[in-house]
Amino acid sequence: MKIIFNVLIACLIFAVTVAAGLQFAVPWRMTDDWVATFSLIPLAFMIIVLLRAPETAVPSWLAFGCGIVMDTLSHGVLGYWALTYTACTPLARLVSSELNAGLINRICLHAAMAAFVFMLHVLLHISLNWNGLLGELAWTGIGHSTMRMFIFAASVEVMFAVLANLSFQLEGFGSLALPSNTKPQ
Amino acid sequence: MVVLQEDAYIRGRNAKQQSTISWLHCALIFVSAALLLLAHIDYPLARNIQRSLDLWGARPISWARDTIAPAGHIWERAHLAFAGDLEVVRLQRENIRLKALEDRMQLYNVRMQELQRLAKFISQDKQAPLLTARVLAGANGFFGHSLLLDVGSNNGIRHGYAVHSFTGLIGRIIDVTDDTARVLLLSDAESRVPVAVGDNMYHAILAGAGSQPPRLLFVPETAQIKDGDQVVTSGAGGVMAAGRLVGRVSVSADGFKVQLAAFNRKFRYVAIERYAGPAARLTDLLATKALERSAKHGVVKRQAAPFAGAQLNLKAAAQ
Repeated sequence: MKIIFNVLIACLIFAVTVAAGLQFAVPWRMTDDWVATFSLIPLAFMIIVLLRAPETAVPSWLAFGCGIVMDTLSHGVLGYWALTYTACTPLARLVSSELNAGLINRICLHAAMAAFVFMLHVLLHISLNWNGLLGELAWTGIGHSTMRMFIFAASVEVMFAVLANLSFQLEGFGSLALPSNTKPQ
Repeated sequence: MVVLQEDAYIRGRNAKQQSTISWLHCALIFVSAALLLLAHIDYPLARNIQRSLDLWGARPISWARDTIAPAGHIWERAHLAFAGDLEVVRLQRENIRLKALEDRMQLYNVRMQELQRLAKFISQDKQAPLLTARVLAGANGFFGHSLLLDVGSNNGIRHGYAVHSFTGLIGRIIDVTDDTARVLLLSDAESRVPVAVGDNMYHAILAGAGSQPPRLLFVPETAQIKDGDQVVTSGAGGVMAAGRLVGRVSVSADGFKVQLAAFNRKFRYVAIERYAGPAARLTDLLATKALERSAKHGVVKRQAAPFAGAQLNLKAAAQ
């Protein structure tokens, strides 16, 4: 049962990555930071799953594979999104093992991950020296995309918390949403 | 004590919740960083991997473009409705309608001119200087701007060919497979094109700058360049033909920038100019050498057809 669940989660993450990546093929009017935001959605989704599902649900090869798929669909520099995804997921896993109880903690974790992604991208752009373009463009573009990633993840967390609260109220188990790994009484 | 244990469980301090970074994760991070570095320096191995992935991804991208593209128009309309003033939109529509009525008398004349131009434009003859190609996908990053086209070496496409839209030059071919070709747009941060500026044809290099307008580098200090001066290709280096329209100069505080004549990322069809300049043989030779190196390392199969002429030259040079 656990294996089937993990496979389903992996398929869902892959589907989200492909869906987010296919927007590169559609000629609609989106600015670069929105395009980068769509590329960060799968990462936010992986972190949300990491906080809830067993840690085998987002294995390292899946994060790497999703990154390569995103690189392929976006026709960007090969390895850019693969490195982003692969570097962020273990960090999220490490931090989540300490801080995954409660809505506020989870939102803080998403904020920390967004900050890490921002720093990673800025570091990549500095180290690869894309013609010294790091400046206003990076601060606005990378900053906007990571901020939107955080807002997306935080909104999903709040939505889950509200839904969990409602379901517990309906079932008469109390008015507070319990963390996912709380031992059932 | 029970409370503490519960607390520890909730905070995930029991043995099962402890996580470490596995060796596989470290290896994948290393592989990703290595791929990024190799792709950045345009190493043949990374280029071949990317080429293989492009071939793999071309079909789903093409399908998505055909299937989801109508949704793009809905997005555009929504964007227009929310971003613009509704009154302005209404007046624009009315203006368009009035212009259409006014232009009705000249319609046949304009259509004839357009058809004449199009008949030359969409010629599929391999000897024709222009070949029309469909855009499979376009990539927009902070710095990287490129297009994937549905023509390749089977259609006679080579490295370095200039790519145009109806309004001007948009980039050049940087990678060719049998059925696809990748275009590096002028706005890409890695793009460098020799241009001539103004009536005096001052030579300079047009350098892409991502989302910002491209900049002019190596402009002579004595050059008298003003706003609105025309920028065309200079033909220096022999890769592109001279005199192709690029855009117009915009003088700013931090140097000369160029407003591209074809700064529109929503390209659906583009025209590839098959210019057999003096550098064409050289680019073929370099491409063949890269292919030879890749084949030697077993990365790709040896392809004889696209660069047959260059291979002959290579053999002749070796002899």
